[in-house]
Amino acid sequence: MAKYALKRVLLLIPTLLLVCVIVFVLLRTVPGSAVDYMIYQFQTAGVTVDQAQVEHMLGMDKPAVVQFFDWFTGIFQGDLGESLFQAEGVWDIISRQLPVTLELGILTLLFSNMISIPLGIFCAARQDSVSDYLIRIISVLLLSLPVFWIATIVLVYPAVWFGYAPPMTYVPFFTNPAENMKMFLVPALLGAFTQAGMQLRTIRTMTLETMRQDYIRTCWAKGVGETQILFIHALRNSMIPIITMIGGSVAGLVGGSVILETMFNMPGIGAQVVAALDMRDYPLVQGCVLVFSIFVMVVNLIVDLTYKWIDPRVELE
Amino acid sequence: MAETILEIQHLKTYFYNNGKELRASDDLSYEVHKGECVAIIGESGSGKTVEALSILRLIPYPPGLIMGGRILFHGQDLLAMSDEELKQIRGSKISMIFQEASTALNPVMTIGKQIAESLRIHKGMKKKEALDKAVELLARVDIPNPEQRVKQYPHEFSGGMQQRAMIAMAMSCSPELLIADEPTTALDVTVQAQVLEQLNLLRQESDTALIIITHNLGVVARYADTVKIMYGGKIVESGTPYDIFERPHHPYTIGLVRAVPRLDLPRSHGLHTIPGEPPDMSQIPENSCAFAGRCKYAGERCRTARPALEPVGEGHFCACFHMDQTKEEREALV
Repeated sequence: MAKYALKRVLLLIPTLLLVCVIVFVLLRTVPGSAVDYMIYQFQTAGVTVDQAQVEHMLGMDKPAVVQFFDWFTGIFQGDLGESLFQAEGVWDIISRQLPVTLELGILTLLFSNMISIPLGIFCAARQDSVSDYLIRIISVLLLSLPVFWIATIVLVYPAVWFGYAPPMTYVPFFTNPAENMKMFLVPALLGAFTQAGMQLRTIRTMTLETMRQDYIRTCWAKGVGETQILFIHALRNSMIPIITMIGGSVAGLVGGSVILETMFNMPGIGAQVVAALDMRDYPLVQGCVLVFSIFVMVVNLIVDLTYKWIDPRVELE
Repeated sequence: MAETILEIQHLKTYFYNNGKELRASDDLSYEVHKGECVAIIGESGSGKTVEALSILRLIPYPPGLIMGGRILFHGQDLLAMSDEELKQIRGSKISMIFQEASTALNPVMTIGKQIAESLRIHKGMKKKEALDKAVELLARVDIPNPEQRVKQYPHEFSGGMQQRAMIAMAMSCSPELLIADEPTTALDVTVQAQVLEQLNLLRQESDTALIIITHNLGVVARYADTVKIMYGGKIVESGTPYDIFERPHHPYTIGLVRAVPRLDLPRSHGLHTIPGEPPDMSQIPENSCAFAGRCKYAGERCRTARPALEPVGEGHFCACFHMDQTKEEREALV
């Protein structure tokens, strides 16, 4: 197990190298460059600059290969470069804004599992009952309603009726948990509803499938109670696809939180990346993508290790 | 005869598929006495497993449904019991061994925990105590190194060991009745013998009655006190192994007995088969003999009326309109 984990961690290195190259090349082949954007900004400010000047200022007059290696060697020195448009280091921006996105993501995940696992199992246990149909209808509703629409409703009506709006300033969780939750609770729940809608249906299907297995019949024959069968015998057996699904959604949470972050005015990295992409803020986009990919790879590794923990038959090799 | 512990009366378990009704257990009745070994024989799809699952109400619904009859265990109707009452009986007074131990054991739980689970539920044992008892039970079914084995998962056991672990699990609460549904089908022949011997030994130690479902006539001859031959969801003949092997009355039973390969006859004798194939049970008319379609004696009456089990000897019953005609064939059996 430890050996396997180490091997996987070592394998991250070539993957990350590849990610670096691809992001670097891709960003620069996209039409429109940071230089154009900057010239445009100067123009709107009424200043005339020439292209070479800006290129020199941004360090983009050097050959691309040199630029790549400057950036690449910087990574190993803990230096992700400076943002082109913000007077701040890329790492400073990421370390300030990533926790917001992570917190939102983790809360979303937590809530969606708290909703979908018990309800999914309940639906499977009471297959085709009125409550099963009702929950399934609601779940389709949740997963088909666009999150920006629900978010708008949730933002507008309380404001109109009670004059309430969620806080606009971010307070870190460990500074003031209550204040922090005031900001995070609602968007996290909204994100969780959409997630839960889909997860619930998968969990229901998986549990139904598991409940048809011979070993579940053995449990009944042994006189094991229904709750124990569902939560001890069935849940663990249907966990593998559920974990895979959760793993996949974790990766999506980092990038997919843009809408919620924007609507609830949260200083998260998701909205930042989109803005940076718009301006072709190369170092910032590169830094964010790098951090995201490390995150996704680590989550995948954890998911793979979880398989072994859940199912002893899984051979990690 | 010893005390009757189980009495099945007119059990009807039907399955419903695409609007078709399939009578898997069609008006089935029999008794099991204390310590008795009842063998139920029939080909695949004859309803033997359904009948066994019905006893503990393990028929999956949908599509299966117990439509009628009573199953009396010490006079109490298992079919009328609440789920809670039935739970007390399942695994403690009546337990079951399933066909393929490899799929009948939970793959993500250790063998020890699975055995201990019954003990914790029915005997109220603490975790540690139950696990110690599980080690003891594994030792009793001749599993080497039970202390280590108890911590292993089913996939680390061989097929025979899995089945023996199943037996240990089923016998953990010393049940009064054990239902074994083709306990050795998935095992190879030498292991089959060991497992059966083990099962029989444990059973005799605790005076447990056994319903064994099989299509292995050798098993029947060796262990059974009573044999029931099932065909198309009905019992067509019932008696002692001697009755069945030496004096079969039903044409189907005669066919079965003749189909056993014989080493003492010349090769030219060939292998006897029953012509035709098992019927689609949803196609058998309600008032007819299920075997009529494959029976050489079948006449008009067999297709319009249903033969009842009639006594043909002491404890020997047969359901056939043409028993007199099978006499010749019966006597030709050597």
